[in-house]
Amino acid sequence: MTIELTDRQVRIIRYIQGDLPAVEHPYAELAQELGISEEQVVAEIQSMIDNGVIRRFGMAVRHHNIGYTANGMSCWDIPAAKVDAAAEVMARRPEVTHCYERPRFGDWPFNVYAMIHGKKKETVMSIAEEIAKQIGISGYQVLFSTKEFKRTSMTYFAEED
Amino acid sequence: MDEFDRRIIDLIQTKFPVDARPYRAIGETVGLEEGEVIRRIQKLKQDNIIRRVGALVNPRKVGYISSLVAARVDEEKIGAVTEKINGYLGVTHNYYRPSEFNVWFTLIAKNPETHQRILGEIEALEGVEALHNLPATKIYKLKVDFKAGEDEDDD
Repeated sequence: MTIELTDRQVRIIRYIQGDLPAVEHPYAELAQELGISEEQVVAEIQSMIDNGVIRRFGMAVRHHNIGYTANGMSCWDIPAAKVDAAAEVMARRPEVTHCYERPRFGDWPFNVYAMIHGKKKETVMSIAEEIAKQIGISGYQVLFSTKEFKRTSMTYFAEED
Repeated sequence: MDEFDRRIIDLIQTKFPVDARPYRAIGETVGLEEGEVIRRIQKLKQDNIIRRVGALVNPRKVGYISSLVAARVDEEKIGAVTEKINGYLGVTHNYYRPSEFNVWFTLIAKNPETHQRILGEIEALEGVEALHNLPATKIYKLKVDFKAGEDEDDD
C-alpha cells in the first residue's frame, strides 16, 4: 500500500504540492535543479498519478465562489450488517461526494459519514431524508459547518521533518 | 468571469494537462493563445476564484496517517482552543459545527506515533472536554475531481 518515493520524486512532490506558477514552462527551474529534462519531470508526475501517490492534479477552487453554499456532513448510526448496502445507496447519489465508515463511540454512535452538497441547507436536509427513507434508518444527524477556522493544504515531506 | 474562464476552470478541475507546457495545452483545447490562458489564470487567482494549481498527495500511499477528529469544546474557550489546534501544520481543515461535538478537524501526520502524540496534546488542552479520533475504516466514495469544493484532505 505504501509506496517508497525516490529522492527525485520527493523533491518533485515538494514543488508541485504548492501552487504551480502560471508561466509557459512551470517545471523548467525544477528540472534544472534536479538535472533532468522537463519531459522527465512530467513523466515522473504521470507515474505518480498512475500509481495513486498523487490523488488529484489540477486546480482547487474556492468553492464558495462558484455556487456551492451548503455542504452537510450527515452522520448515520447503522447496524454493521447493513452498512455496505446503505453506504452504496449514499455513494450512488451525485450530491454525495464522500462516504466513509468510521468507528463509533458511546457518546457519538455514528459509524457512516456522507458529505452531501447542495445550493441550500434545505436541499441538503431533504436529500438526507430521502436517503433515510431508502435505507430505512432514522438515527442520523446532519452537521453544517458554520465557521471555517482553518483551511490549508498539507505539506508532505517538509524539510524540517 | 466570462465563458472562456468557465471553460478553462471546467477543463482543469478534472484534468490539468500533465505536460511541460500545460497552459499551451489548455489553450489548444479551449481555443486561446498560451499567453492568454496564463493571463486569465493569473487573474482568476488574484480574484480568489482559484485557490491554487497543483498536486494533491494521497497520504496513505506515502505512509502518512490521516483522520477526522471530533472534539467537544467548552464554548467559552473555543477561540483559544482552535488557535492552538490550527497551530499544527498537520491540521489542514478545522470547522465549527453546532452540535454536541462542535469542533471538527482533519489531522495528518507522517507516522502513527506523531499522530497519537499530537492528538494527546490537543486532548490535554484546557477547554477540550472530549475528543474522538475518527479514521476512515472503509471508503465507499471519494470524489477525485475538484468540482465539489470539499476537495482536499477530507479524510
